Amino acid sequence: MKNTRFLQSWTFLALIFGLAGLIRADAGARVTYLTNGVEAHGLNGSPSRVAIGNILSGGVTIDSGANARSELTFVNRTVVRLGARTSLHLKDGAGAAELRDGAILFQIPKGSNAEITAGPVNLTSKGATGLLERNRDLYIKLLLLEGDARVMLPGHLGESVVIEPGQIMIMNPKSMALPGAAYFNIARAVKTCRLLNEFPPLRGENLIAEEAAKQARLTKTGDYVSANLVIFGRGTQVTMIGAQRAEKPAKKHTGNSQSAD
Amino acid sequence: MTKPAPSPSAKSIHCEYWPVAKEFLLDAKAAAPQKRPPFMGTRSSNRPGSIAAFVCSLFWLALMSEAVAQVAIGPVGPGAIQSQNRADILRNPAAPLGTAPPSGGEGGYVQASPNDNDLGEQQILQRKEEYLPFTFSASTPVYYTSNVALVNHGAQDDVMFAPGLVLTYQPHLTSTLYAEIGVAQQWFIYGRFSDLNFASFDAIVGLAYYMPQFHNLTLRARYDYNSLTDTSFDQFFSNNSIILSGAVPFRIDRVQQIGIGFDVQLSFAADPEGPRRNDYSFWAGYSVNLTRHFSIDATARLAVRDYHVGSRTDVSEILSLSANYRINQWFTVSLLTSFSWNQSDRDVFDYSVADIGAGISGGFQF
Repeated sequence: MKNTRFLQSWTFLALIFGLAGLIRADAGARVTYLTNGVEAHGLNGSPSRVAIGNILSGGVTIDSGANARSELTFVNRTVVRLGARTSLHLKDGAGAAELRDGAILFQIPKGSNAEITAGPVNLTSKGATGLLERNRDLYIKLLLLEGDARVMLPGHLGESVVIEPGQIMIMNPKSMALPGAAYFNIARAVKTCRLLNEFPPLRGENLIAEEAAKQARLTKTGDYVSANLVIFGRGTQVTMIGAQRAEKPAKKHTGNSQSAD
Repeated sequence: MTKPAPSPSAKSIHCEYWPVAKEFLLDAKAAAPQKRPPFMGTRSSNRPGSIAAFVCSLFWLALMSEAVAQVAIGPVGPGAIQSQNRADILRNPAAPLGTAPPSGGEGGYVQASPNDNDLGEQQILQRKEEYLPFTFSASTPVYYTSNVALVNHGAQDDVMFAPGLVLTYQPHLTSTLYAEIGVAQQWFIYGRFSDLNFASFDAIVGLAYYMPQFHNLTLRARYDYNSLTDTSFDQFFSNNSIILSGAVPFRIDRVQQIGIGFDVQLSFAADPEGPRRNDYSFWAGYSVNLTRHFSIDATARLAVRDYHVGSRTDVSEILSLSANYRINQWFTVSLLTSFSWNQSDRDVFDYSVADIGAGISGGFQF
């Protein structure tokens, strides 16, 4: 009898925690960092100012202003950092979001699942850190810093590739096929990326550093060769630089920032 | 926002279109040494490279197997012509298709983004692919055949085990010209009709010329020495021939590809002389990768065989289907099916046969 009650109690507790977990899994994302003005548009379309600690549920769209940046942390520990003039729509489910415009950094911890869409492109991963940019219906750019992610065009047979660290892919949203991926210098991107440098350190930054070091070793051994082509942040504009050109340090952060940490 | 302006020394090429830049990269890559053409694999960890290595290995295996077919009925024994036709039937269906060449740029577009430095600077790197000229492959297919002796009447079925080994060396001479040197050994061992057992050895030396400007046309010219022996390695036939071949792949999309090609095999010396023949064949193939690990291939081949002795001419149609599951970068499991029909100007040589089999094959480059 005593054992039966014991089991009943544990079953009840397990149900409660399971239910809570389900609710929690669908609870959207918490705002963990903020710089300047960021607005959230709810289901009714009315904008509201976002503050640190706010929990945003699925269906909400976040818009960051001209000089604003923010960080969202999903319940599965997936982190999404929004750049300036960025619009991100949260979907139901942990780590599910749609980039409608602008640039984000995403970090999907190992063991978590996340799905980010940008126009017709779908990105899924179980552990990766990368940058994703969408400029309306003009182009979509993906850079992977560590881990691996699958990029696919749903509805197109075979249009699915796995992107590795150091690969960059620029896609035409109107294209019916995924382009081939090129390679970029991870260390240089990390050094100049405001979504990394103007935020508190990421949990998995050591993984990015490892990939950068690995790439540096391969560059030393000649497996990677610099093409002297650089995209200076801006979408698809490629500039050829001289060999003597020095790497520009990232601009120091200016602006009011708040952090949940 | 910071957008580092290019220094005075920096040369802005105004290549504002990504595809242009990409083509630039591809051009630079093409000019780089150690480039492997699309029909070959690389040590790179990407999937096409691994597949290319495997396909390349199978191609050689099929090629060597084809050379087995240089015997005919005559003083060499009643199983000889069946042996050569058997090898023709069991050609690998996927082999002629090769792999898709690197794709060019996508549609042109360039736009400024307001998120200039959110992403940071993206310095483009080229990954240098190491060229690995040696390929070793092995396969162990087992077939059920409906017509073991390839006869017109009284067909008998049997099980056949056909393991093979191939070693090739393909040094590049220029960026698009490669030498091909290889040896292959394959055994054909029957379950019940062990009298028909035989082995085939091939040594091949030739050139492969890859022409990306003509839709990735690949041309090959090879000298082939073929020796047929019994399983004790006692030779009963040898043949010397020149093989000329061409293949053009047409990529439909990322996972589908069709290809067409021809093979001409001209025998110029054989011992004994009786089974000597020239082969003229045309093939068309289709390949689809349904998943990263699973692919299906189909090839149809029409061959005309003109025998030097006796004015005999045969026409063969061979339809091959295979389903391949790639276990890892070294091993692949395959289900193999082929159907063949032969019409000869001498009715006694007409036959039809169906072969269904499975096998595991593997290979690596070094």
